[in-house]
Amino acid sequence: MKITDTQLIKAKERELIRSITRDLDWRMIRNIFREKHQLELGDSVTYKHGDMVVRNSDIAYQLDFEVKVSLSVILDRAGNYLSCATSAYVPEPASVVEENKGETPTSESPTTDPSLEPRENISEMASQLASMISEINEA
Amino acid sequence: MICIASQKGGTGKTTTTVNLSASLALFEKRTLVIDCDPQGNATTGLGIDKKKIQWDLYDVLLGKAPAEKAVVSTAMDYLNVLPARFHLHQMENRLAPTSFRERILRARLHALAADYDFILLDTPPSLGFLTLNALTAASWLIIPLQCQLYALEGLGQLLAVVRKVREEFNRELKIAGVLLTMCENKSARPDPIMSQISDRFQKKIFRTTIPRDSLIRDSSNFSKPLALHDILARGAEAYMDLADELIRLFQNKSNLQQAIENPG
Repeated sequence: MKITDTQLIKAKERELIRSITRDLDWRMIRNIFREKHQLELGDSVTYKHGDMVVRNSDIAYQLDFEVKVSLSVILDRAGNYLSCATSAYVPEPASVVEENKGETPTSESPTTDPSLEPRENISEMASQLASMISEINEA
Repeated sequence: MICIASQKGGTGKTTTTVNLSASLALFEKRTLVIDCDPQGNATTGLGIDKKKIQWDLYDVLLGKAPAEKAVVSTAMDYLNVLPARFHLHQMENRLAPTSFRERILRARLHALAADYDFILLDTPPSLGFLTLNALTAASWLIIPLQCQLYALEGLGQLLAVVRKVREEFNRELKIAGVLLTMCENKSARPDPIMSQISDRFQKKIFRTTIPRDSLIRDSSNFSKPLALHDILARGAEAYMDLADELIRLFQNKSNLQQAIENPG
């Protein structure tokens, strides 16, 4: 026994999903991906699908996107796989030292990613500097 | 022995040295300031007339005077200073042919350590010979960092030097913390970027932050620490808080060390 129009509900749900998608804070989402998943989202982000789901017995909204992610694969000169990292990956202090062996002292300075906004760079730099301090104090 | 150093000028090194030392003295901690900056601003800031002193750090480093003879009293009971004058800038050239030149300050100050609870070393705004000597002499480093967006730039170079000093000259050197200086009013909305920096640094940053306070500059014009000029000023209160934090920090470390050495 229908008491309203199914199409109306679906249309309004789609409208709601579109509205939520439009208002997403992409700066925050980029930060979440960088910090939680060590992934740096590229410029190309395509909306694929949105739906209402149930999480922990509550209504939630699932929004699916396709994004470009930069990936670095490192191999040695013999062709052996060494490591794989995204552009947001910050190496552990020990591996930084290892990679810097034999290089000039300036390579020990935290690096900045020119593709990031100044404030994002500062945040990333702060993380690297904090790691350097930990390394010094715990050595 | 605590070195106050930063690769940049204008971050509040000398202001921190002068006001933190005065605050430690107000807590009745025997405190000595060693002015390692040829500009001698910490010397002047503690009320010492450079024309009236007989010896200074230059003479001590050259071995012309023992460190204890070069130390002068200030207007505060618990606070002394080993002063600096401009000719200190010649020191690098004078000691160029000397071996162990980076350890010379450490060697000369050794006899003073037992007489004080805290020794603060003020450094010039560079990572040259005098700063290297101060880092080699110290056990701890405080890094003043101005509350602004680009303050972190260059800090990596200082940390690289600290790493080098630890490897080559002074294994004991550790970083007591980063001190945020010249911060805007506490009641104002905190700058999100400074909040992010604080989050990243976590325990490596002092809880106390130093506010931007024009009275700090005014007090330096009178050649005295702010606490002696206006003890109720926000800046004076902040440096008292910092001194308290520092005393507790080292008390905790001392207790921890004793517990490790004497378990049970």
